Amino acid sequence: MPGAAVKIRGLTKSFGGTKVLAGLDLDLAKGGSLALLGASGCGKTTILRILAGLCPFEAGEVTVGEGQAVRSLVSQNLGLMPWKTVYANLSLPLVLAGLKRQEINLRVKTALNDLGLTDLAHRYPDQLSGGQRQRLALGRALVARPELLLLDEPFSALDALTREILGVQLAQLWRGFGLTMILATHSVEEAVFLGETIVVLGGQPTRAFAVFNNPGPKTPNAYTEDYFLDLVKKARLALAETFVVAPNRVGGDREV
Amino acid sequence: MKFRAVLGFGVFLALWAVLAKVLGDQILPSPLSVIQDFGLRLNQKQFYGHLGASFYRAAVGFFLGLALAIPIGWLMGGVKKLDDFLAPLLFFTYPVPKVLFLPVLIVTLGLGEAPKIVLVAVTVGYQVLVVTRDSVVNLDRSYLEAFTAMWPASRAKGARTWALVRHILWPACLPAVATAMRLASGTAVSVLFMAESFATDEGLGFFIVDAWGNLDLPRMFSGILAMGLLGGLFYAFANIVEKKLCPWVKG
Repeated sequence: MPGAAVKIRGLTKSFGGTKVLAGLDLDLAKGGSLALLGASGCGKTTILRILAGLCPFEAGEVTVGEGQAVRSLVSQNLGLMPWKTVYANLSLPLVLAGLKRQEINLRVKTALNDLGLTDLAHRYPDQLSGGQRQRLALGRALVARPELLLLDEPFSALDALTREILGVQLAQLWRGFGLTMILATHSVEEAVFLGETIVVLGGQPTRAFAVFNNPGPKTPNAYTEDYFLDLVKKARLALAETFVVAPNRVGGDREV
Repeated sequence: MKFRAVLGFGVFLALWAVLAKVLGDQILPSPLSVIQDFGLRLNQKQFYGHLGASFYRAAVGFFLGLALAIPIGWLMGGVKKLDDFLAPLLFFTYPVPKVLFLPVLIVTLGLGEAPKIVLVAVTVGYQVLVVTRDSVVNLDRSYLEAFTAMWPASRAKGARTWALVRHILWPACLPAVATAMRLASGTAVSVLFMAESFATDEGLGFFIVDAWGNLDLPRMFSGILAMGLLGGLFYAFANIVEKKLCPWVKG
């Protein structure tokens, strides 16, 4: 499952006459990870939705891989089907893709195992904990074998410790599958940990305020390393700067 | 729990027996005489004719109503232009008792089975149509979005509609449809009674009205009991649908 390169040029998008994005450029190499860091309403979700093909835009160019690259989106509220068991939720993208039953069973069993959900296969989403639901949503995104994985505030509903543990697991999956990953978050630590490139978004219309690189390893120890803490500090300062420039954008509009 | 259920029935029958004693056999037959009469009817071939006729009309009407209402509900919920066109009409006519259509149906469809079946179908269909439409209109957008994001761009559009119905619309409306079926089971039987109470000589409605006319009260009550059981059967069916087809619904 090779990752896809992402190229965005001059992306422009308005909501109700307000320009949210005006000529945004972003680049991400094959197999890279990019964290979009910004306050609520800065357009992170919009960028992800456009990349997922869910949202039309006025101008610009969005290229993901060569042509029809498979993309998976984990949305903020996960979009798990309450009427489907863990197993059925995981198999849904494969069923929709028209795969053979045997292939589906094989892939879903592997995914259940990878995510530690095997014992919960027959439960419904309402019978899972927040962390389990999150892993299920991640698994559902991965079974489709995407070249680009898009994550919108993937762990926002979880407690701090669960977030860190899942973050480490996600980093392992990303490396293991060699896919390209873009995540949107308002958590500075999460962005610095999961992103090789961290883009701080802000202003009106939204632009890249600052770009940082974190080439370090994505292991639990990373959280306490000096270079990590230093990057968190820099990113936080850049984020604070976005508030000063466009204070009324903080909290933003609902992105629909 | 079981003990209290039995106690509930026991108290009801005891009050009935006392009331029957006070009012006298000519006004209210005792529960025992009704049960005796019901036992007698169960040994009569004729009674099964009436029971069968009512069951047939109720069952065909019930399923016809469901089969029409559910897809129309999906369409109304899913296609805004169609909904704008039909929803005001639906909500305007919803409170109108459907039994008022009986004369119209008899005039247009004749005196046979058709008006009775259609009346039951319309009664059930209205309830189910409203909840099915609402379940699609109020469907959490995140399910539709997740579905859209998952749908492979290379596959045909017709297959997409079918998959949308199978994986999203059908399960999303089922719990509400089961509830509507429960509510409709009572009204369906009551409109059937009205439809069977004149211009026919077959069905429990006729059986009850005929016994009433002959002042054969135990027989009349046997008919009422049978009709009640018929409604209960559809109620139980709705419960089974919910239990078997909506296992994710709590309680």
